[in-house]
Amino acid sequence: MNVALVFILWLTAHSWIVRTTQGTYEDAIHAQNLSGPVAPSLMTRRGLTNWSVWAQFQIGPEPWRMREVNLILSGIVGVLVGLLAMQLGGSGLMASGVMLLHPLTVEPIAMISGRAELFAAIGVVGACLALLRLPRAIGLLTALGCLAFGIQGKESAALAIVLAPLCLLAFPRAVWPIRWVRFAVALGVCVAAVMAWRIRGELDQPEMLITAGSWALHQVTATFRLITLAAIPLGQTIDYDYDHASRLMQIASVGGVVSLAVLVPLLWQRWRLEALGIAWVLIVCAPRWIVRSPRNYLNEHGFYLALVGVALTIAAVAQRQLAHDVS
Amino acid sequence: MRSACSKAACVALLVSYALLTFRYGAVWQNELTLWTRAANHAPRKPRPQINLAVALMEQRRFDEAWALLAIVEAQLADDAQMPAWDRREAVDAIQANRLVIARLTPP
Repeated sequence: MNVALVFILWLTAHSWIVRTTQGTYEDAIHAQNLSGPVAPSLMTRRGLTNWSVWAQFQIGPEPWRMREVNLILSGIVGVLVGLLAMQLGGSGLMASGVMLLHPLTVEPIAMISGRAELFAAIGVVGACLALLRLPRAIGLLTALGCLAFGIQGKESAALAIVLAPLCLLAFPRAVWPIRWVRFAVALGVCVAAVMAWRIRGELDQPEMLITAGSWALHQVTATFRLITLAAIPLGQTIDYDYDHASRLMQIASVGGVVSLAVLVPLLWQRWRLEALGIAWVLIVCAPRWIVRSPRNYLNEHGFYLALVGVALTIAAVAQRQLAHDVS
Repeated sequence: MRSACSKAACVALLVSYALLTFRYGAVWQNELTLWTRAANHAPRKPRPQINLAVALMEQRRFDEAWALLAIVEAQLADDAQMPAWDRREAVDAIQANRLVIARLTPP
């Protein structure tokens, strides 16, 4: 297996999406919003995503053009995740392969607003790589630049303040004293929690009529279903019915997520990269358990950043198995 | 030998991902294919059903769209689990789409 095979598989696998001449429901919404002059209110949140879609819409609003750009962005994410996996001792080709070929990547590429996920992933993975590879000052500045880039794509990129120090904690570098790294992880968790709580306050509306507990239960069910889909990608759909999920499924989901959380410290000593990958998935999904956005449970394109964690885990297992076979 | 098996397993995993991605990509060809799949996966959720009805309307299959909206309306009456925001939006969407169908179909 080599890079050329993965590249050919990537282009072939996504050929339907870029060949499509008809738009789907989102294209019509964007056509309404973006056909006129740019509205300043449109650009304050997710500015990079909105600007890029608006600028492209002025050139040509055809859906396939939008999707081609999304496909190229997903290619950049694939390369960055491969580099990150190699830096952390995993198989770079497997990590890239998962990020480029997994069926859960279809939605972020096919949906116009999926571009937000792609920008966010570039920002987060870029920040991790900068801290792990570059000299201290340059690395920190580059990581901050990547963080700003990602947040302008989507606010979930703010999780880089937890994920990047966590990568350093898992794979320490001499240039970063471990005390600083531990402090950065703790600080990142606190800042992310405060940000999630503030966003929760902004989004909460009295007419939502759903309790925080019920919301969390639905979102954990969504999280576990997506983790299951990451492992066995059969049954994807744009709009899954979590409101009618059985109580048994909800309980099993909570059990599954708790089991994964317990696995992280158990694996941390011997299988560090696998533990980091699982922790990555849970950290990315956790804010959605408390941030209530009406009618919008965690969906497949929202799982794109979490898929990086899945890719790291698979890359770690593959590398370990290949190294074991050789020895 | 074991190394070859591991490599083959890696290739098989990535090829299977690629095949499944290719297959799922076909669902995103147009509104009808997208919402038909979504409606099949979530038969009790109003949003996919209503969006499928809209896709049918775009293809001028008004009878099928009208029948689908009637089914969703009947489900709304029976469903106690549905969140209030979904119910409100579904009722509005059903009414709006029926008006469109009534306007576009000859008496």
